[in-house]
Amino acid sequence: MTALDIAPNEAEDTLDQTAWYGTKAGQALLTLVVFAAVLAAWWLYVRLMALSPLVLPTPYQVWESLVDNTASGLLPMHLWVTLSEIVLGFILGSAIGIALGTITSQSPLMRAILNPYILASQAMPKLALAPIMVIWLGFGIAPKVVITALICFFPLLENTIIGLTSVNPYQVELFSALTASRRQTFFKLRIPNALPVIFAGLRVAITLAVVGAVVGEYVGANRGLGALIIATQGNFDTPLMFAVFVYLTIVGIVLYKIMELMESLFFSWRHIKRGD
Amino acid sequence: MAFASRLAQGSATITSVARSGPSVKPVEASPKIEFRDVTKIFGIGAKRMVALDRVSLSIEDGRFVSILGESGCGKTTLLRIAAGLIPATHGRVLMDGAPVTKPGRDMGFVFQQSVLLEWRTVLENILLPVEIFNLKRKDYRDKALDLLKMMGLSGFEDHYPIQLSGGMQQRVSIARALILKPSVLLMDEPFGALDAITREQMNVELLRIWSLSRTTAIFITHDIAEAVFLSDRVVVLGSRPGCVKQIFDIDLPRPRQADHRFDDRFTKLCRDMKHAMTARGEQQ
Repeated sequence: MTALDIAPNEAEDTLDQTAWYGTKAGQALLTLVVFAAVLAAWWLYVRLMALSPLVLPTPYQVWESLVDNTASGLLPMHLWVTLSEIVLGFILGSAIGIALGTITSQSPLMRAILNPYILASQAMPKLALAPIMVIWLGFGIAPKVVITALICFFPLLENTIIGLTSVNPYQVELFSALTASRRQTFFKLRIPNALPVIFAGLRVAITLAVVGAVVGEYVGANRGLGALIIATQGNFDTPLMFAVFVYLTIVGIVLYKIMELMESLFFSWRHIKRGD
Repeated sequence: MAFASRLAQGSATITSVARSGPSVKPVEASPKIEFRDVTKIFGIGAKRMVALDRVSLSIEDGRFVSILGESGCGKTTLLRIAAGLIPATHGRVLMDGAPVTKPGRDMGFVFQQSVLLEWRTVLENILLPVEIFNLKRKDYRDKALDLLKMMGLSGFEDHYPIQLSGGMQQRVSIARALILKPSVLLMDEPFGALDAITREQMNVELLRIWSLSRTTAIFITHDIAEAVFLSDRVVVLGSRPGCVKQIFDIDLPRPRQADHRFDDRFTKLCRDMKHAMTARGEQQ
């Protein structure tokens, strides 16, 4: 009946805490060993197949390119452009998504009218719009921001509507038994109820934002990590292309972690152990 | 045909109410809460369902009254009408002589589940009614802590609901219902989701708390022993449609202890009530 009853099931899937691999340091060591093994296999494959760096550079060649082009300022410059597109697009798209979701959630009629459009625009791949954005907005950062914003918009619209409308009916009844006004119910019940769902939408959106900005740059740009990938393809500078992949991976991880951190600051109560 | 049988049941209701009439003590003062011919019909046409059929009851101030019935007999509907959460189709509920049309500050409601807001601490949950009625939180903080102490939950004020057991959560929800000192406490099977042992403990605790506040209490349950243990009076509701079958006055002495459940008088009352609940046509 209580949360305590769940504990035995959860325990089945946990590590033996007493073994050396049960400790944090032991696990970190194992992760590093796996990483080294992957790099070694990669290196061995390039050497054994005698591959040209044009096709597949060795890990060391990628590292060299990464260090050189970071020191020269080339990679940071392009990173800055892409990062601005991601952040601007993410903020713009999420803000509009949350705002429209909030308005839509207020009226079932409006939801019913708008639902087909929301569905259609969900199904439509937003990246397909990139070429028309270039025609409308040129080769600068604007079309990429718009594409990124479009991609971020829908998860937030949908999650905001779900979060604000799918409220525990007993909690709604509690508020009516307390004669709460619509406004009180909105601020004290619907919004706190929606926040975790909205944050889940933000986590999805931030990952999609990276995709949006990079693909937007593929279509037409002279700056940004996406544009750099296209340029390295033209120059046959594959080691640099791999260096960009490393940058993009780090950008994705860092942004996601920032979202997670914000979420954990917001919902300290969600991270409390059950049963105490 | 269906209509005819409903009519027959209707007349049975009237007889049984009339029969149980003499057992009700003469009312000295005007009752705190009065149900007058409360009827509730859900749906229309083929889906029409009579949930409650002319339920009449009066409850004096400070009494603990249980409404006992099988699941689906309309007892929760009756409580929701009393709380002003839903309107009666016919008849009315009077509180201090005035018809109840909407929920009010003077009533505390305890639901089947604790219905705590999981993002709020225990203390913040108890203070929710204070906020909704736009009162100052700091004026009620001490009262909330007193209630927690009364519930045996001192030291848990900053815990989140997820950290508490089911019984503790339900105690928090009772504290929330009592924070504005309502004159009526409405409880809808509040311990139905708890295991038998916790439930008996909660019954003892509820009586202790109630004896301190002495609000008028209406308690919905399908558990005969629970109804007998807690109440001054038990109203047995029949099913489909819900109607008053019989009213029992429980004259067991207070304060009641858990062991009273094994007394002869206690078990006899339970047996009588069980018969009243299962009795069908033979009442006529």
